Amino acid sequence: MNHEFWQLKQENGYGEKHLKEKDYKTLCSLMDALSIARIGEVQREFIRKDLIGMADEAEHHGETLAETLGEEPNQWCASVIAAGMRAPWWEGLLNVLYEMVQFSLFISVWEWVETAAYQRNIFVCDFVAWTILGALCSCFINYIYPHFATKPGTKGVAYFGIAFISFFVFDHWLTKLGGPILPVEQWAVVAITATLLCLLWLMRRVHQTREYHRQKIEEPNYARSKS
Amino acid sequence: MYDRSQLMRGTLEGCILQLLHEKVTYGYEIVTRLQQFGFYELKEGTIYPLLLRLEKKQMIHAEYKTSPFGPMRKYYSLTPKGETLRIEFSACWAEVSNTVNAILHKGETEDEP
Repeated sequence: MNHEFWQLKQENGYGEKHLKEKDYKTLCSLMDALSIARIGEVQREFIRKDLIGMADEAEHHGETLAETLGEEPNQWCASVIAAGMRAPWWEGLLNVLYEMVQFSLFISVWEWVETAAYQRNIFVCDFVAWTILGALCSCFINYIYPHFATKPGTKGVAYFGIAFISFFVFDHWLTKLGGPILPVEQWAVVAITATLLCLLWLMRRVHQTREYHRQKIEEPNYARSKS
Repeated sequence: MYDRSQLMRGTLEGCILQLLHEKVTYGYEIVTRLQQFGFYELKEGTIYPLLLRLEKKQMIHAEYKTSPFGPMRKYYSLTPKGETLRIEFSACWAEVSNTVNAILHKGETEDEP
């Protein structure tokens, strides 16, 4: 498994930091619009790299990125999608599944710790309910309101915050939901969720590596060693 | 007023292919050259999706190279497939422009004594 895609992400993060405030904001709104528009993650990173290059070029000529674009972010993204840049449907599904299970793992570990104190069993309905909640959070953060978490790391904090608050709100309701449908030991729920997460992580990684090599653009070797 | 941009858009792809046939170049320079030829309102952001599409269809090839002032630039060159498309476009454009010119100037020639 290579790390070139992660290196590209890092390079983009580094390049973004050196942009002017105005250009950075334009870039963020463009990336938001692209993420809603179901453009693949790898493709998005390549476009981000090009946009950073465009912003640098614009700055060199005394212009801003917005002026160079000549269109509104949403309109510009529509042109990019029209160019045939849409990701396959299953990539989006894989991402949502990954985030759902990530959320579920967090909750199942939390419940494992909590139930150890209160002697309550985790039921499969708990797992299902948390997964649905995870899916709703994922849709909210990624598709409905992506401005909610645009800066690096804020998405993780947002997930943690939502999980933490909703845990206290829903836990009482979940306990009252009824008797055990399929009572499972706490450790088993954690183990199943963790295995599922590893599997999905691996699938995403393989897909990203494949996509990266398919779309990779040649560049001088010294430029790669720069970072 | 007639929307000039609609007409321009349809021919832009062929013009870009022609510019790339002349030399390997990058986005900003393509725009500057197109502006010099009369595409005054054109921006780099307008041609970017077009270049992406041509790249995806393997009509052009992209490569990153360092620019004199530091950051990497994406240089585009024509592929054999792109060269074929350029030749086809030139022939097609000659035909269409001849037809349109003939229709537009028909009245003028008929009016002459």
